[in-house]
Amino acid sequence: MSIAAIPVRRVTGSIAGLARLAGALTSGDRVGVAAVLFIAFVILVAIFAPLISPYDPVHTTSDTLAAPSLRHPFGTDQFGRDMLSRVIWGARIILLAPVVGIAISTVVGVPLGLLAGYSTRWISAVIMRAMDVMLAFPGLLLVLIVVTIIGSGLLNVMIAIGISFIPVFARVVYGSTLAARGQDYVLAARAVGCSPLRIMAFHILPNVTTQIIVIASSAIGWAILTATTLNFLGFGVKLPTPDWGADLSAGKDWLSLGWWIATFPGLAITAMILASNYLGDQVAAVFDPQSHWRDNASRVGGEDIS
Amino acid sequence: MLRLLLRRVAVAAPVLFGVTVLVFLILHLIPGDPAQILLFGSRPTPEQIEQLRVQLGLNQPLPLQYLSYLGRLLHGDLGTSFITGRPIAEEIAARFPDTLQLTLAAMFVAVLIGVPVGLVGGVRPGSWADRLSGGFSILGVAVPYFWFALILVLVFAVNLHVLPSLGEGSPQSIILPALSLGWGLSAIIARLLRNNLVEIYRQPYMQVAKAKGLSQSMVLYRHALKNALIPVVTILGLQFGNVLSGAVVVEVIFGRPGIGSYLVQAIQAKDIPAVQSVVLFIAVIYIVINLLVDVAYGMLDPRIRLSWAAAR
Repeated sequence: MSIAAIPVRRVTGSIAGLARLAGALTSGDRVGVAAVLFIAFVILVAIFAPLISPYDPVHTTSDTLAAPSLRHPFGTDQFGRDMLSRVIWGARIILLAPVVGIAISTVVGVPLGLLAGYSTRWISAVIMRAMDVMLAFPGLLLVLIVVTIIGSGLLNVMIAIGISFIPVFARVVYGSTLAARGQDYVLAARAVGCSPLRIMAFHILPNVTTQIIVIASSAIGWAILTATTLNFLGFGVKLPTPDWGADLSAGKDWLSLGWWIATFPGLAITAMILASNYLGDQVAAVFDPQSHWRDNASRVGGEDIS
Repeated sequence: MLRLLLRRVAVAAPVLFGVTVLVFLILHLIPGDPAQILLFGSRPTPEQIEQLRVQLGLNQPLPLQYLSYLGRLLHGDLGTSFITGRPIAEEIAARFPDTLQLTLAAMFVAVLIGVPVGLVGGVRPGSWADRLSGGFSILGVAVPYFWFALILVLVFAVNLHVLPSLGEGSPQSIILPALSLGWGLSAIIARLLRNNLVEIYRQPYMQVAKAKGLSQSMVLYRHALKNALIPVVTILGLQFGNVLSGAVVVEVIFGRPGIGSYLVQAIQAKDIPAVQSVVLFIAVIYIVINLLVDVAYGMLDPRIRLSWAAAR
């Protein structure tokens, strides 16, 4: 076995792993599969936006408030911009917001939870009480507080969404860490002299990854809703940047003259949140089969189980 | 019962303290000089800035500043709003009834829609009615309420001209805002009630009730619904804060002058004392309601009271 072979194997291993994951995500519940495929489609649309968008999304023309037609399937807005192109380009922001937001909450919330679960009572109490205080605000309000502090703008909205979700991650990881603390494998690691940091990072963390993935995926729908809400309120992207929430807000003043301006971005947001909620279920089913079984037992609209 | 109440208050008090600290810190976490931030937009002279700094004690250490902030809060002094030049306490007092009215109307709508939909699904799980009710719950959570609000305006105000879309005045003007705000919650209620009913119908006491020969409706109303509604009441309480903060967006859309649209204006105008006060006000309501729900829950359901007693 040569040294050079190792990285290659690792790469092919991770590709095979990804393929397995893709396979698992696209099997089982039909609606769940449709949701995964829809999100994959939106990702492709976002990546290839420059190639597939029929017009420049910010270029104004004299063809204002044109109803949907073959030339403009989603119509044009009050500045004559093609709505289909704007919806296509808007997919970039709608995907960016949950990815950046949830990345922030994971990177901050998970270590906080680990630390609170695996340290002295004092540190643990300080961290968890701080999390309680953050959770004492309704979610949207917490996001608005952060936006007040750091200012508006797309990046700041994403940071605000990330911060508002930190306590949720911290709480779940804290609970799991507390449970893991007393397990034999942690005791064994301590017995052979591992440092607390090492135990947290290499022994406990891998055992709570499943929960982290499950919360992260269930947070996507909420992150999308919040991002579009803030863009709708005008705290996020600035027009003419194409964004579904901001376009919806612009369309609200033109409801009587052009229903299509608000309708198509709104449909896109709804479809995206719907798909994300199912994606959350699907991810939970792949990573945590037990939870899926429990969900199925009480799922809305499911089979008769009595 | 008093002990129960005291115990919950003891849990809520530190959180309340933390909330005031966080709200106090908003001003100091904003990059820049607090005095200048407070005078934003008024092109202050250096003397004015210095005067405000002395007046508010901004040159004192933070803990002292916090104490004087707390002192002012306890005296009901929330500062003066830059937007209107009036005391913020007055602004909130004048606007809150409107927001409260909208929130309560939205919760009423949510119950009015959610309970029948959940009932239909829960009584016959797996039927087409159950599937329909399930579809409603899923859509209700996914459709953003600000878009739903626009659809309602488009249909009822722009096309059918049956309901007013903006402002206040007529009693009907609350219908569309309440519907758009309550719609998401109605989906949550429907889903919860449906799942509770399915669960309860499997309990032994339900089989006893059926075996006794009680009629279907008697079994449903006397035995199933009573138990299934307890968590619904809880959810109503717990969701109050979320509906209240959702009112922020709905008030902006429908141009209602509540504390939500005031908050958005304040954030846009960088009227920090107003932001702090409204945020604190909503958070305190949220905490107090959660506390009351907790205690009421314990009073309603002896099982919970007992399990609390056993846990201590």
